[in-house]
Amino acid sequence: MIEVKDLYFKYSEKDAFCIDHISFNIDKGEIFGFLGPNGAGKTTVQEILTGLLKQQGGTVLYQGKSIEEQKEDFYNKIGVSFEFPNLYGKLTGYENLKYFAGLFSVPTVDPNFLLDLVGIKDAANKRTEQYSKGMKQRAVFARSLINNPEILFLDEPVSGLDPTTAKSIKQVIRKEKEKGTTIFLTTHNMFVAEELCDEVAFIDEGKIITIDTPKNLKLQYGNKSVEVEYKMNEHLQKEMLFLENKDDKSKLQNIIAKNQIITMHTKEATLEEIFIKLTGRGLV
Amino acid sequence: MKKLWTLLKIDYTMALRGKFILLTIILAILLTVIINFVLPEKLTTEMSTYILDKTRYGGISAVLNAQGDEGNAFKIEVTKSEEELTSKLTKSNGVGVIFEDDRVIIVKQGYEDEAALNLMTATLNLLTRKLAGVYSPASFKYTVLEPQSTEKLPFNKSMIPALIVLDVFLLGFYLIAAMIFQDKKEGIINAYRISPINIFGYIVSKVVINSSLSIALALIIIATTVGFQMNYLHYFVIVTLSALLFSSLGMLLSQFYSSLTEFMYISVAFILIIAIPVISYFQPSFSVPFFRYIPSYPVMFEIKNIISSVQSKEIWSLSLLLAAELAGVLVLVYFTSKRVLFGRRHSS
Repeated sequence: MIEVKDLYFKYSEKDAFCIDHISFNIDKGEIFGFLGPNGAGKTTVQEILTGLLKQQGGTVLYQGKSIEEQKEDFYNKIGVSFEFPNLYGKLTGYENLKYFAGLFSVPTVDPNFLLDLVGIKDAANKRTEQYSKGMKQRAVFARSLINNPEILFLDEPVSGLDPTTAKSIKQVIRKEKEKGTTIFLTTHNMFVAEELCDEVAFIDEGKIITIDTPKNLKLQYGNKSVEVEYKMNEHLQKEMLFLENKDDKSKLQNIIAKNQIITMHTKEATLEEIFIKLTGRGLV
Repeated sequence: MKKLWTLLKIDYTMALRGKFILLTIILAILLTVIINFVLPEKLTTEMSTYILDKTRYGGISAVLNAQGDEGNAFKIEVTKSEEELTSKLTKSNGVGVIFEDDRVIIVKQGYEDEAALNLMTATLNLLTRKLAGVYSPASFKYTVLEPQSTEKLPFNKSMIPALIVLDVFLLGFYLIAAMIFQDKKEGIINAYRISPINIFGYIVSKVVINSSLSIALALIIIATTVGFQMNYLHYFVIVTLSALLFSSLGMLLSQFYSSLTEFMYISVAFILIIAIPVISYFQPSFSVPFFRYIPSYPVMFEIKNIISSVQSKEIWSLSLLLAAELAGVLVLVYFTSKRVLFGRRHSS
């Protein structure tokens, strides 16, 4: 469905590559997650894929047709949810969706249904300038579904939402996948990636570190970790150590020999821990 | 058509809730009050002249009194003493004339209009020659080359064309810029860029909504100040084309800036250019050929003709010129918007 080959991008000639020759494929109906810390290049990739940013090099193909050649019809088929909400503040939530629907040449969804779906139907007739940040984000997410998109681009869709709301948004994303929608999701939240994505790409400093299913990543990197809690100089310490790693192994032996162990568990590593292992840095 | 209708509904709602319509109504009331009640109908340059006759002959006062004020450019009052003359001068902005046997002394305040002083000196010359019996024309006759130029509008009404150019059309110019900046600030442009929006529809919608506010303001002002004794069709055509042109120019320039503050510099330069022909409007002798190419120049004179109910042969040729300028600007706006507002960015 979407093929990206050797894509690169830099903001100015003097800068290093912000996107450094990356390649990946997304199959139809798949949720593809881009997992990386802030500033890793996730949003830049999404902006190139949606045509907001001009492609500098490499290829981006939608069903074999370059993004550069896409016309109006392409925009009838995609939905984009931005990380930073962009709504008409002086229009109500309902008006924002209803008017946006008027720009499409394809059948659209009832705005009230979508507002209900994301849990802000009660605020449908309130101007969005009076919405909280989370409500705005949900309205933008609802707007991205207005044209029944075939491809959905979601930039940090649950960032900043409370757990209950985040759960319902994730439920909507799953339903979209069931309908056959292809979803490109960027996030720095490992749980979101783990719960929703069929395939995950780890991106750091513009480079893709690895691409695989969350399950395979865990099998490959996360099955031999130990979480140990111990007291050192009367202070409680906590470490996550990977037994495959020689340094971690000798560190564990050292901890056991010299300190008082409080708890010790073998643990399946989370995607974040795997990310740390592969990149040496956290996701936030 | 569906997309254009949607965009028109959005922009109308934004204009209503952004208080653009309220601002237009307030401006209409303000300009109506200024034209009808603040600006005088006649801008008087009348200067009082106080005469003191100190000649042995002593008949100058009698001649002046007999002649009266009629036809004079200034009011004449005869005084009896230097004290009275000085007292009158200090209480008014007049000029004193003291006739002595061998000379005439003119006492002025110091800030008088040079033209008025020259006119007064010429009148005094004529008077002295008349007294000496040298020259005594029976009457004065004026021959006018352009009879329509004598159709003088009251001063307050003559201000209307300038106010329409400088306030009414510039309202559309600034309001459309404000809408563009609002769209940029709220990130709406990005939302549009990933939708199948029709760029020309986006432009037309903004230009139509903001121009219609200018047109409404221009109609209200004319109805409340001039009334209905003029050709409204001609007025509507000129005002509509001009308002569309100025709003399109507002959009053309504003898309390159991200806020009203940044836009201020270029907009002030634009206003200066548009305002230059106002000098020619009030001082027709000051007319540089280049001014005629500034749209505000012919528009002001045409509106003046329409208000004065003067038949003008240029109404349709001017309309065609404005329509051509509008088409040119809209084409420019389309290509620049496609690149600047809706084009793929090179950076975030």
